[in-house]
Amino acid sequence: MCNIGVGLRAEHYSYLEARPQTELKWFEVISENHLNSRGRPWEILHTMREKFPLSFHGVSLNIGSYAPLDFEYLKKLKYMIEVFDPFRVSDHLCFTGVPGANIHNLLPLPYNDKTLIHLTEKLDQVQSFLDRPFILENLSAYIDFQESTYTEWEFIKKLVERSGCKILLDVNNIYVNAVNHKFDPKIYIDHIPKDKIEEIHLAGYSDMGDFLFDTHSNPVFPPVWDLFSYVIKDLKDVPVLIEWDDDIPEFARLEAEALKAKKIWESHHARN
Amino acid sequence: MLGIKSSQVLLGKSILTGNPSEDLLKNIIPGGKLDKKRALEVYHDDYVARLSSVMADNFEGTHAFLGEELFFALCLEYLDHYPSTSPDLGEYGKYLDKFMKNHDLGKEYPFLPELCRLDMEFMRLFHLPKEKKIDPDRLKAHENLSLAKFTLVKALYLQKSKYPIYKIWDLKNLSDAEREDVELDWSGAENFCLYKNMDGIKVQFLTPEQVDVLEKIKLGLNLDSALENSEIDPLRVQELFGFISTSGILIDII
Repeated sequence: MCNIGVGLRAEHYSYLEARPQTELKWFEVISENHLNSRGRPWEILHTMREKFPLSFHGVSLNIGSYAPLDFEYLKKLKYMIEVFDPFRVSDHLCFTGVPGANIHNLLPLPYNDKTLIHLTEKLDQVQSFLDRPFILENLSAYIDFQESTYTEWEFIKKLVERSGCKILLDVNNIYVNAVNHKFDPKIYIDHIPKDKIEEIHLAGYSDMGDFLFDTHSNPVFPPVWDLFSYVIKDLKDVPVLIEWDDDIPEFARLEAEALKAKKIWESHHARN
Repeated sequence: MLGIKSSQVLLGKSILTGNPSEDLLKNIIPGGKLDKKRALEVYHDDYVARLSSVMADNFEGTHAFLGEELFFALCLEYLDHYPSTSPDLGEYGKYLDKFMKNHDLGKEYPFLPELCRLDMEFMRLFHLPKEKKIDPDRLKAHENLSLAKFTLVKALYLQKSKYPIYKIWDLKNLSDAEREDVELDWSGAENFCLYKNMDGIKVQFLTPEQVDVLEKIKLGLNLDSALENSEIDPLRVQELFGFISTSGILIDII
């Protein structure tokens, strides 16, 4: 069975408040869009939670930062978790700002032993504070660092082994990075421990001519669907999410994209 | 080698300013067919676009009044002065009203700080919870209303302005073409409150004296004390009391 979901976005609140019929099984919530609100963004979570499981996906944990963790942020996240009981809580393998400036972007880290030790310590703090295994997503990056001594996939594998964290595998990000940084995405996928994959993300990039840009502004492209097929051959019952954050279409279009994922999943697993 | 802290500080500065240091350039490998500077520009451009778009969402009235070109030029200046410090993008721009006071645009359009403030207050009200109004029977049964203390909803913003500030702010609800046809007259004071009841966010126009009295009630004064030294007409008091008791802004009375 394919467990398909989409991101809950303000553009669809009114439609979803009318409680339409849908084949979607769950919704992903960007934690930061709701943390400080007790108005409509908070109310919609109550409405949605009555009918659907929710996952909380953060963009500002800033776990890779050299600065200490922001425990005020984590306290608010923990309160949201207590209220809405999400089935997944995740963020990104990155840093998102420096002291005094939140850059609101997912920024890459050098993949080496120092970063590995640093992230393992931070993950330990997060997992202890939230009292649950944490899930980190691989990101799209437009630069790498000279001081990286591991490939991205080697680094993720080591991080999972050391920290006990789980993986949110963004297949679009793997493809974007494979094109931009010139590697075989199947090698990446082959190295990822399948039993640690807790969720899959799919999205549409933008081809800028001289690089692929992870814009989440398009339908999923064929090479990403192909990689999705490649990933899921060894997986069972992993939640799959369509992300669409820019030029957001009507809900029906988004749902149709999610149903494509379902169809691919079902045809693949029926074959095997 | 830069190490974790230096690489983050240098990359952060490069994104915030658009000017990467030589040390950073030496230590990165660009993706795609990008050269190093262009790869870093991708991050800087994305940062500017994202935060400007957030400001357009957070300041709909100011954005609509200034139009794309002036508003996004203003965003660039604001970004230089005030980087985001909160994980919550809904808070971004919280110093814009103060920033406008010393800005050339604020001198050309003296109501702009108030317009920014109104945008910010609308967003504050949007994110506050709806509060249940008092049972009308409790209000009717109260023995001495003139000595009663009223508890009003938190989602209440009072404004006295020399300008028709709500009318200007409301231009955001017109299409670009419709807005161009409006010949705006900036003269004419406006006094009003923006409030949130169970149906959503509403506006109520008031007299300046009504705003003053309501402000005092909001601060916890009873009706008698709120009216002390006020030159408000008794008919206006009745009107204001009618608004307080029927609009849903009254949540408790003691």
